[in-house]
Amino acid sequence: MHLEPHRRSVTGRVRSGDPDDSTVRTGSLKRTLPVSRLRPARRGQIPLWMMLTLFGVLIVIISVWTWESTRPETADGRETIVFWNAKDFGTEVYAVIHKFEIENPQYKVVVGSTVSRDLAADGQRLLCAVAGNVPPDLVLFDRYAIGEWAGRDALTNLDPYLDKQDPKDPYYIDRKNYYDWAMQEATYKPPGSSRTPGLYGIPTGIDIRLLYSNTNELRQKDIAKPPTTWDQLRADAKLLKILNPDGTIKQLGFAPNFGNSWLYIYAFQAGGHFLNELERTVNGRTYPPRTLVTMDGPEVVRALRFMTDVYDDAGGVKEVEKFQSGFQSDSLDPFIRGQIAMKIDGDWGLQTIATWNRDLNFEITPAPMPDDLVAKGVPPITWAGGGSMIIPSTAKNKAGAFKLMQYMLSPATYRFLHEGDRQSMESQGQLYLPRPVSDRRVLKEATEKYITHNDKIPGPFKRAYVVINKMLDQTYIRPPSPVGQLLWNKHIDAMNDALAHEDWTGKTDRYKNDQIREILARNQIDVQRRLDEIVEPPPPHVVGWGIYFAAYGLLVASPFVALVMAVRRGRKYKTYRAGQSAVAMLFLSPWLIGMICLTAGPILFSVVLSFTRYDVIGAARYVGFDNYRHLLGESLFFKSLGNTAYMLLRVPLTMAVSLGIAMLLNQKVKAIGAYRTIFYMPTIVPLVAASLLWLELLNDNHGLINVLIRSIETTPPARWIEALVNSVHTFPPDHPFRFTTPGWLVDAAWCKPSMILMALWAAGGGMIIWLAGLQSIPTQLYEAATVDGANSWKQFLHVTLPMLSPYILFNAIMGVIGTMQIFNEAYIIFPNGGANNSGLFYAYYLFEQAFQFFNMGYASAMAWVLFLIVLLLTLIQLYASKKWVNYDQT
Amino acid sequence: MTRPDAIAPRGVAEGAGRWQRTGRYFARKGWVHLILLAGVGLFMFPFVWMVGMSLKTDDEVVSSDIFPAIPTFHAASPSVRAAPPVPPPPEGVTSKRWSDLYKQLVGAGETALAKRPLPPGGDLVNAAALRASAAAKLVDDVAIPMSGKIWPQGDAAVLDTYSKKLSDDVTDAALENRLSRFELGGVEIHSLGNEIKTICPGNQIYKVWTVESGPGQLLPAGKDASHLKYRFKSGWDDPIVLRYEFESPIDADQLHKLIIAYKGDDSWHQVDATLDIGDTHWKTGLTTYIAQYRAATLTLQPYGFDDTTYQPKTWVPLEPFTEGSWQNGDPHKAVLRLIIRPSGTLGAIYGKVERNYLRAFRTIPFWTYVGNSVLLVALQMFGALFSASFVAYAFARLQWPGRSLAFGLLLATMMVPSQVTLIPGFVIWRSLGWYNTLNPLWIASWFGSAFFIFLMVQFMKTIPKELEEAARIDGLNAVQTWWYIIVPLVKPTLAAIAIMVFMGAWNDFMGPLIMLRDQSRFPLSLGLFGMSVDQAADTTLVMAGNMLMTVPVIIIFFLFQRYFIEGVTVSGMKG
Repeated sequence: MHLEPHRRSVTGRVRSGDPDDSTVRTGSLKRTLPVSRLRPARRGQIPLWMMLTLFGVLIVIISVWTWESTRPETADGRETIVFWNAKDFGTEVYAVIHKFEIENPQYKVVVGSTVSRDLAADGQRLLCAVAGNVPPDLVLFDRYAIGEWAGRDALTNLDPYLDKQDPKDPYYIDRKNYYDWAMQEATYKPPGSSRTPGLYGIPTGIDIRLLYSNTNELRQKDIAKPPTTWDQLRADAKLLKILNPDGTIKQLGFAPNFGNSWLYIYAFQAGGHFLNELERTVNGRTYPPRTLVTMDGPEVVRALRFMTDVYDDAGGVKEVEKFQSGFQSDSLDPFIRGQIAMKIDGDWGLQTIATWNRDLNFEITPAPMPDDLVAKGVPPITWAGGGSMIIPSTAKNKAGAFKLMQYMLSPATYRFLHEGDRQSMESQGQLYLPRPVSDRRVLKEATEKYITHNDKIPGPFKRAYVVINKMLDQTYIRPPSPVGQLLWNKHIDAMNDALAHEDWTGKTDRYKNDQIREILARNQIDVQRRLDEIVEPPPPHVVGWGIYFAAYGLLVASPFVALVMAVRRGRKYKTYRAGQSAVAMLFLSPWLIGMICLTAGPILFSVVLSFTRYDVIGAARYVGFDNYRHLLGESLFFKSLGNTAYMLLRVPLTMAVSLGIAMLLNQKVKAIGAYRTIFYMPTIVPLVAASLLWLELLNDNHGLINVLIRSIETTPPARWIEALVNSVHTFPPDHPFRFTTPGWLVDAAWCKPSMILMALWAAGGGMIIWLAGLQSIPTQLYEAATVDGANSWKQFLHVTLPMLSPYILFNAIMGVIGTMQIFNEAYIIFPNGGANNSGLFYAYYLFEQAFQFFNMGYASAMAWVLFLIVLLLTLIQLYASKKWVNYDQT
Repeated sequence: MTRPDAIAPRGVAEGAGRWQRTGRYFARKGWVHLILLAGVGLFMFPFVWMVGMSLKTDDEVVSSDIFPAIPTFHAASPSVRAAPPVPPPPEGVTSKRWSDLYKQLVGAGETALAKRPLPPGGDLVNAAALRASAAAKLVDDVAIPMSGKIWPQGDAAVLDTYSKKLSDDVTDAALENRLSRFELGGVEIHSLGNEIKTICPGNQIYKVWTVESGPGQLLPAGKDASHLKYRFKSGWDDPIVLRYEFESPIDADQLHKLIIAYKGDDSWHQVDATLDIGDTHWKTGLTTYIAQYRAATLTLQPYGFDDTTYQPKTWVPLEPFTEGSWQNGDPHKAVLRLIIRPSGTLGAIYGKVERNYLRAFRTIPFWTYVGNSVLLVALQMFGALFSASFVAYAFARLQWPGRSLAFGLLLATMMVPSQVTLIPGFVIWRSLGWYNTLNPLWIASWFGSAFFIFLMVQFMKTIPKELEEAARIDGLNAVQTWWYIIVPLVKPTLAAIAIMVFMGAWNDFMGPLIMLRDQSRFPLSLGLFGMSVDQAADTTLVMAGNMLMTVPVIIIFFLFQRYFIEGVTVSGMKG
């Protein structure tokens, strides 16, 4: 290298101390600097060679580190088993795992946090790991999602492992010990195929739905025992309802969807199914079992009609929701306090009662059934879900994972885990109620030990466990299906749509039923489409990437060929020096590599993807314009677009607030630096921290904002505001405007205002730019305006705003682009899109499609639509700006 | 514009002039300051509240206090807990009638309570205050749940029904409930072989434990527990040492954990412990503060496998100690000592401030997360500074065919939303086998971000050409010129870029969410989110974690404020 002597020559020259005082004017530095100050640094500048060496060392370290961190073994040679969601096994799970490691010294178990609120509904973390080829080896997650995941080939079929077991093995897993329906829920075969079904998970816990009745409340209305039929339930609910003087609900008898019942339980009870159980022919097409969505069948219509009727009895779903928004948890649980006398809820509700009021006089019974079926002698029906242990299909250590699974599911392990939980609960002075599990032996043993033969357990709990054990033989499950999650989401959408129905006074029964059927039919379209996609043979044309790579290679090469030719020709005309072009390529190389591999390549790749169906795990297949076509027919797409459009409101609002602050700060006030710092500070709070902070600030019960509102709720000013608003706008007489705490993050109507509020808090970021803009306005303009007799408002309108217009344009464009891409805060604050998907913004929905459903093609199409929207909005703003932006600055 | 101060009469005393000027200033600009201060209040309050939340106890969160209470020296226990707040009127009772009826109900309760003896330890407290508090509690527990049919029947009927319900059991329970005590609820031992052994039930403690020293006395508490009655003179009083000698069911090396159930008295006194089993001696490595009135456990655990996991470390570590130890021959002879040291007001405040933060540090592998975040920040900053200044040199200073075209391309890529390259990015990194490594999160920064290159080009263009020409004459090649001449001159822009990269890298959330599997590789953003998911109910803990993530950024902001502002202004002007 020749670098060394050159370096010396430079420093040598500088050290010789050249008294050069000539000055140069530097473009926009707007001040003259003595050239001597622009001289190379004498000290503090690391020599180039050292810099290059450090660079090389860094690259070596990073390579070694990458290699090290992608190996599956630990440093001591043990194989790792990565186990997710282990904490759901209870407090002592680590001790169990440690014992497993001692008994099986070849394994090291890594228990990690999944950082997922709900692995089944939000499987993004797990699916990314599966697609990333480094999944966890063993996962505990919701059983009902097994169909969905097995359908994507993300799970390992456990049948061969079960069959290979040695019956004498103390950890032998025997299928016979498990509830049949639980095993069914973990069994999957592709719908419409003739493959033998496989078992993809071993069931663990159970959650089962039952009717909870507050006996004290029932007694007060002389209801002798909890209802057993729908008609009785309706009648009792009406009896138990109490209204406030102003017509709002004070106490409710029963709300069909309070607790955890959903439409599923009522549909099952009415004999309905969401997917066809038998082969059916519709419009000449034959559907094998579980390939036709039958959500609009008469039984489901009847069930949903029942739900709407009960809500109508209570005054409509809006009233009930308003009532429920005041509910609190723990010791203020609405069921414990008698605010709601009956509910259908999961068995975990027992623990809530045991923790906060173990002396409550309550009763657990099977959920009521339709009257005609009870008359026919049909036994009560409920539905259950629960957990299961699965091994991802691409797991590195399946043998170890299965061994750990056997260990975790053995009765001895359960015994220890139960005992640990009991100890932990009792040491906190609480009752311990073991949760039901799918293994009958374990359930029986635990029930006897901790409930039946335990004197500390009050009677209602003992009776509840008898009912639970009985009902476990009458349990329905949600059918394992590759569209299970979508079906679940859509069934909720349909339910919400139907409950919020139009005014039905004076309408016939038939009309109401038709309306409900129409809603159910509308919501099942997307599910059926997905199901058809899965059942039909995949699109025939697999994407051959080779040709694209070749074409891209040519595309990339062409500018370089052109460059060489230009340099050749340039040399002839002495335009370019070949040497400098080569040097330029050296300097450009990082960007060129990045451009080719990480920007342009991916962009073109994304274009191709948007015309395919691709889930990362399988091959991409062309579908033409289908993705774009489906976008236009999908309700959630438009919903997310609408939500995002709503959020555009925050752009002018934040601009106004930050401009206001900047104008105040521009008043030549003292301590401007301190003010500026304080107003700017909210913008530097990390987004995760800010989101979590606002999640608490806007919390219904203890959030600062609601606490403040509640403290002035009963004061005269609140009355004045009420009177003012009611005089300006006429509300329905039974629902006047009330000054009260909004359900910021739980009420669909308040979700987006909450987000705007959060954005306003961080409005100080824009202030800096405004301040710079304001200070660049020449004072002569104001002086001239004063001479012309303009007051300060006119000055603002005719001097300040026009002079700021380029800044307004810039802020508006950046604000719109930023708003179209809102993701982090929405993802953190609104799990699964928030109430009624009102927090599902465009980028969030795109993320869900891409990494939760792994519809990569569809998500790519969404990304390009986003690009077009952003481009269009920007162009519109630029075009409109010609009319109002003043570039005539100086 | 006229300048009033310019025509002010001179010759006034210096001090008076200053005051006058200040007065005039506030007369003119005071309204600005008023509005600004209101704004400051509005914008700062969420911060202040976050700090407050991070110091609260669970009770304070539930009770919706805006700020946490300041603890003071708590001299004696038991003490009387404040009466619960007046509940809202039952159905059919007007609030006017309720305010009167409530007093009568409390009175009836006090009458019933007066007949009952005070619970053990009650001699330390003001009996009247205890009965008043218990009477209020009785209204909550007994009167409010009464049937709705009774309330409209008139006060006499209500009081009659109520009095009949006040059995001895109910009244005694209310008295015990309002007595704030430090209760001990039993000791259990877990062995490494996963056996759980109860070695001392709570209702035996006052019989078999001894008070080795200090102003305390052990008494029974309810059916299942014992409590410690004490009276400290000051925060510097001698500690109470409780001693429990027992036969350990296991060997010392088989000890997994020893669990002591207790109920706090909200005194913020400090608990330490020593444990000797056979010839092994331990003492606690962390001090526990007796916070809240809640049931809790003190889990003593020697270093073991649990410490190698990422689970929330809710136990108190036991450290081996040999100082002054003795040989006692019997390997199962065990001594447990609880040392209860009084906290003065300052000590109590310290304990309260420390509590949630210490828990946050022990709930997540905090330093691992910080390490990952810092590594990501460093790598990204290094890469972005290098690539932006290196590439910009070619655009700003070198002549080559297609330069303006390439520059246009660079600007065009800024228009493409990041969502477009998100999916191909995932596919590329995964096919390189880099899922679950940090590489995908920083590599891209080494190849130049269009925005930073653009900023750098704009700035570099303003540097006079003469310098380079001089350097070339000196014999420097292009790379040397870049390194020795250009880089030192673009430092302001480099600083602005560094700040932006820091904020971007520290904040990055979606990248880690998609690309990382193992907790050992999480940066703080994802780790903190993970904590908020796993410990969702523990608001104060999450807020303490939030503070720990925010404070470094605020410190850096104050240190480099100039560059923050410059970065925003520069990107605002040039963009």
